[in-house]
Amino acid sequence: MRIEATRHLCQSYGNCVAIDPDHLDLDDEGLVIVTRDTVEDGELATVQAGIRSCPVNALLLVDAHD
Amino acid sequence: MISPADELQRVVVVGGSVAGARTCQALREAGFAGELVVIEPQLGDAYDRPPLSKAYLKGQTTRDGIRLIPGGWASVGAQVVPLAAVALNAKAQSVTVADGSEVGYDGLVIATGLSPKALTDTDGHAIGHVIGNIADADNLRHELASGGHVVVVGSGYVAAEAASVARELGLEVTVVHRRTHLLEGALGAAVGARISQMHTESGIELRGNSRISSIVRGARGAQLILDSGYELHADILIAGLGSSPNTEWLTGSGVRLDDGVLTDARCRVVGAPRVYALGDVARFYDVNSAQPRRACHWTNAADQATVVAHNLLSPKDPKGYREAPYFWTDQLGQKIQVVGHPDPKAHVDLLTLPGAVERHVAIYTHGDDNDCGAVATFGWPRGMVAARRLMPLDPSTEEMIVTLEDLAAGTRAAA
Ligand SMILES: Cc1cc2nc3c(=O)[nH]c(=O)nc-3n(C[C@H](O)[C@H](O)[C@H](O)COP(=O)(O)OP(=O)(O)OC[C@H]3O[C@@H](n4cnc5c(N)ncnc54)[C@H](O)[C@@H]3O)c2cc1C
Ligand code: SF4
Repeated sequence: MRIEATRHLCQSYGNCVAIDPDHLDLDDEGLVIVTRDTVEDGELATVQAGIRSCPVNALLLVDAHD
Repeated sequence: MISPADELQRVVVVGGSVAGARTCQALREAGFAGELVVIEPQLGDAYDRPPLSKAYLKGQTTRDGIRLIPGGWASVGAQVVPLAAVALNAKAQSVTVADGSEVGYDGLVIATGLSPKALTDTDGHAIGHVIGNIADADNLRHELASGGHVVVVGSGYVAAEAASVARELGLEVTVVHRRTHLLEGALGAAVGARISQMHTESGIELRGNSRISSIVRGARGAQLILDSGYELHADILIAGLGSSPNTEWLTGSGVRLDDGVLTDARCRVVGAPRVYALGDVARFYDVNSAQPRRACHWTNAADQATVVAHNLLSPKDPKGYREAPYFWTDQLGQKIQVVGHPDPKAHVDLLTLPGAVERHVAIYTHGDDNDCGAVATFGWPRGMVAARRLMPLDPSTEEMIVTLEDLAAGTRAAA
């Protein structure tokens, strides 16, 4: 599993970063960046909660082989 | 041995908006494979609410652009009952819907949110626009397109956002409200004054400290008389007066109601087993303030959904909810973000922080101990991320200011 961000959708709410700072951050323009896209064992629930916290569905969990 | 999760065959969610949709997603992501039924009278896939007074009202996005679940209800295996719930029988574990049929549950989620309050004219009839759902926003958008003088009544964020959108669309706008400043109730006088100034500078006329004496319906719009005797005509009248919890359907069910559905700190409804409530309708026991409170913000609904899903699936090992208070509002092209619960009586430092780009923030000091109680940022999402990270550590005002100063100056990374 890998996290993908559709940056042009991001509205800079920062909810995802508040929940999942290990994978996500905002850049200088205030848009989301994926700082680490791999999901380790035990991280899935937090990653999913971070993705659900985005009001504009700018984040996606995709199969690593896609 | 049967684990409690195995007994949970059917979860019924009443209300299919932010709280309901996120709960369904969280349940499936946590592995719930049973039946999921959503009772929601508004047809179609779930859509988001904040854009209704912002980008959607302005015509910058469509219903597809504000979907809450990318793949719709079907993608989370939810069966939708397109009717309102009219009664709960907690003993029989069953919900009655508008056509009289019963929907039984093993676990129930109450997520019926709020309805906006309307203005009344001199004949006692509801008058003007409200913004609660997408049909409301469509009606208002349609009217704004035909132009005219807009009068917005209220000083909360929906009122201020509607005024912003109408002004940005080029209409003449007057806001009539009882406070001295816009958003004063939520953000206090100092920040309220700053926001009022933004509105005035954009050409919006603010009539604060005003009460409405009468509203007379006209051929188009209405004629308003204020308590000062001032008269004004509204071609388009918009009410931003706040909202009340949708709990009529729970009257007599045994569920404890008190301006919302009372829950404990684990989102469990007081007075009915296997029933949870979340989002705007829930008055949860807030462990931060040791008091029951209702939090009417998007992030609260989404965060509580994670807790409710977990507790439905693992009732023997329940999680508690600790609110990380946060909300945003977009006005006149400016994103205003707030962490914490601003105390209207707090001391507020309105600061301009030097750096490659000057940054504007408001720091609220609560009580006498120099505790930072809340932070508002104006058009600085990265500053807000830093403030949200620091806030749970109970920072002093000084620590918060130094952190944000360093970030603005570029001498500290956001993390
Ligand atoms: C115009 C507007 C702008 C906003 N802007 C912001 C913002 O900028 N930032 C922010 O943080 N928050 C904002 N909010 C608040 C945020 O949208 C809410 O906190 C969030 O929608 C709460 O979700 P909810 O699911 O609890 O309730 P709601 O969104 O109110 O949904 C309740 C749902 O329950 C359904 N329902 C009601 N009664 C029944 C019944 N008897 N049977 C079945 N279904 C029923 C309704 O049809 C509705 O779909 C805004 C809200 C509005 C309306
Ligand atoms: S929650 Fe969504 S909109 Fe907000 S910063 Fe993250 S990706 Fe962007």
